Amino acid sequence: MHSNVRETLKATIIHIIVALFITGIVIWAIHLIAGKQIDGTISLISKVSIDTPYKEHEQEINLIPEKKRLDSYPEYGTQYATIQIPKIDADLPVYFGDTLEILKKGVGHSSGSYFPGEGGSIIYMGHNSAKVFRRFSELELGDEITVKTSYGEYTYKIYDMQLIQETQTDMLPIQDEKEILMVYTCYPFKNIGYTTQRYVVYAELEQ
Amino acid sequence: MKVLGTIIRYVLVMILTVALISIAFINIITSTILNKEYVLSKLDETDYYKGIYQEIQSNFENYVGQSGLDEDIMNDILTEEKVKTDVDLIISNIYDGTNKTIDTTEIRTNLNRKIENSIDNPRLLVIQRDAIDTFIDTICNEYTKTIIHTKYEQNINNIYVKVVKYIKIAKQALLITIIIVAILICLICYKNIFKGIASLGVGATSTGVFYIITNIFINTQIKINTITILNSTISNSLRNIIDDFMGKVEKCGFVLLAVGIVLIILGNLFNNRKREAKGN
Repeated sequence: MHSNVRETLKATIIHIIVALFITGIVIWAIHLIAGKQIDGTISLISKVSIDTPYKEHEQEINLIPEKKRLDSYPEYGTQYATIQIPKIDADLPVYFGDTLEILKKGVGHSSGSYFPGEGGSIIYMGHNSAKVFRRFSELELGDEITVKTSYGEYTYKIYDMQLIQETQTDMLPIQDEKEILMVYTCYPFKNIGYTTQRYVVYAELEQ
Repeated sequence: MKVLGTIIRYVLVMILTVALISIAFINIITSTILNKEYVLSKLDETDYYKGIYQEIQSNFENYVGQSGLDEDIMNDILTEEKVKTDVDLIISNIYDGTNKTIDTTEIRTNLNRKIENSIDNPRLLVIQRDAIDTFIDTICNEYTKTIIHTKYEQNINNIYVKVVKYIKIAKQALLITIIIVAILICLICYKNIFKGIASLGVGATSTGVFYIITNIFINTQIKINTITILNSTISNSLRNIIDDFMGKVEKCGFVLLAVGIVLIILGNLFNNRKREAKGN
């Protein structure tokens, strides 16, 4: 009886080893035939297996005063400031970037322009919807716009307002001699469909 | 002669393993991703319809922001039920080979009514009417685009029909192969059928081990839980389906491994008993 069990055990182990050997041969054959395709597929899937935590909160950045430069720039799409225009009761988040997704959340900062405190042109934009800049027409010369960031608060005074075509980029000049905030929205303020005109408010740094 | 018989037996076991691997794989995919009811149940389970509904609303907001219309203009122009009906229609197009199109009349009518109600002056200029029509067309196109999510819908529909056709043929061919191989193994071992049973066990064990290794390999190579395609709704449903698929692969592996080992043990046990009885 014992010898039968021993023999069975021995034969079973041999058969399992044979089974593992066959598995190995099959895997080797698959690798030989479709190895490149498998590697390509894994690489492709790995590219879409990304873990990107979405940053919704305001990012902390600092200004180096002597250089008039930020120590680090906010990540694209993150909020780094808030804009307040008391005259039209606007208190909106400012995001770095100007995609549709960003503009849906608040005010966008054109990525080619300067940041508040850097001493150059700052370009902000927002929709002409009721939640954002629908009441832009109520703004007058001398009204204040305040931008609050983690590294300071900047107040600008409106000195000009212009109605431009969307293609007139020269009306939004980038320069580093004077800190100017340019905020624009679509015009007419209450329209239907896409508009080609932009209403721009120009404000200079007060303090 | 005995050695030749053993070699032939193991060659047949190898063919049996490949056939078992293939047929098990076909069974898993036909019961999961190629099964319309399964996909629909997974979409329901992962709140796909709700997610797509929210995505559509969110996309609409992009257009409202630019249009200058009030934000609430998009409220109540479509329901989650309508989204579910249209998603199911697209799934049916893929799985049943139909070619039905999404009906946007309801959205069109609702949106038009809401825009007209929001305008103070009911006498619209031609230019305003055109702007409204363009806006409604854009919204309806955006809706259809978000529901379909691919411009290759037609191609996918054709692919599915072809794949199912070939899979049916392949499944039948594999089934016949398995039966023939099993009969051949039994014929080679006609003097001692228990040897044949153990050999079939080897085939099942190999297949089981293959699936377990495949599952481990895929799970170590690919971070399934972070796969991101198009948006969170689609990614979530896709991850859930892949997870379930891999779970089935693992389960299949362990079942075949268990069946294989039982067959090997039983085959060897009775084979030894027979040999012992012969010796006595």
